[in-house]
Amino acid sequence: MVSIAGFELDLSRRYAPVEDLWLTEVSEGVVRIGLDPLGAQSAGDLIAISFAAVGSALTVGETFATIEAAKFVGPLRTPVAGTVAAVNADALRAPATISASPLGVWLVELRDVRPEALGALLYGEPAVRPWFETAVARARNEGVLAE
Amino acid sequence: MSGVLRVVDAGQLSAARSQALYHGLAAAMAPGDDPVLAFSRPAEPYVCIGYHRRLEELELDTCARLGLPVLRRQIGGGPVYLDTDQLFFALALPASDAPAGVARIYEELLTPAAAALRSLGIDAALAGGSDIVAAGRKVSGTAGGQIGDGVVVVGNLMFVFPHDVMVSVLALPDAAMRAECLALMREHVAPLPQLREAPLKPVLTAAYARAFALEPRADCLSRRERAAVDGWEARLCDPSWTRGPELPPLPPRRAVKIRDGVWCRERERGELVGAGAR
Repeated sequence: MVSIAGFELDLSRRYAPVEDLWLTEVSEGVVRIGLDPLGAQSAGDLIAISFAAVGSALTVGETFATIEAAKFVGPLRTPVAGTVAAVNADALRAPATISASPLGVWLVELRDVRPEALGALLYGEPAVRPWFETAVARARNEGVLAE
Repeated sequence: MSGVLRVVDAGQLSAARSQALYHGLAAAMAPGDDPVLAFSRPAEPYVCIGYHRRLEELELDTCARLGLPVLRRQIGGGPVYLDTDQLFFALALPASDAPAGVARIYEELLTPAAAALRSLGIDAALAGGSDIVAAGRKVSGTAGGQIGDGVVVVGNLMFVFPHDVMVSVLALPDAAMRAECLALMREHVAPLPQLREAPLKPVLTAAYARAFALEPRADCLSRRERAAVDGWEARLCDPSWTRGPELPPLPPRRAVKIRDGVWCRERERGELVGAGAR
């Protein structure tokens, strides 16, 4: 774990900057996806989450989960294509844990993810740090995050 | 964006169409599109439930007996009773142009509605992020969401509100909680009988146009929007959609949000019902 712009990030994971998600490969072609700390803070305190059905084949940009905070419902879209292999029942039962510990709670597990799709994500401190510092600065500037 | 606020006054719509309207407008949004302010008024009463809420929260037998369709929306919030005495307003814009963060979305997209009410002599303000309140009472139910590439925030303004009907469609464990819920709702949710639809719409339009520095222009649905609204109307009427997503079981003790900061909670057996609902 390293601290970047006031947030703890795990640099062993890959990050999808547009979607504010982290991904980690659990075995060949199988990844788990979660919300990154900036995405979690921007969304607010989650009170509900629902998932795409296990077995759904998702293309890039399709919704793998739908979240709700403060009466606002929004999609979480996958940055990589794959088939939903599992969803986190603990997150379904206690969505507040996602807000409290975004790196500690995976949301879905996708299989059949092509390695080149993972290669397009941000990985390693030289790639992750400048993106995250810029994203946090922008969020603070826009009033999404407290100074 | 072309500096225009498109204003679509859809008039009176069926229950499903009145919900489909804003879903379709958001779903049809593409980057660079002009924002749309839409008005509609339901032609019939119905019950609408938020995306992540359970049908078990409703007395479905009562809904059926009263002839109230039950619709699930793709935006947030709890069960609400909607009828012909309410004006709906919805502001839809491309997600790429929406403020970042849910709190700012509500602040920027609902502040004009509160300002419009103030210009009509109602001391309205945002409270708790997304409620519009006046004199401590909720005067507009609101919710929002991202649908496709569009963000939409929706509100209703109630000219008359039958609190008893609203409470009758909620599944509650006992008569005591029903009575408490009704009392709290009467205390904290207020219609605005002094308002009329006709003068209200131009005032809302002016407030949104001013807030976004856009030129309002009356418009109709585009072909693409109409197709999206049609598609959403069909989806909202599909029983499999109405059943909703897989959710965890209801918590053991029932709680009903009356307005921001005010809840009606099921008491433990033997616990006295009384003050302290907050």
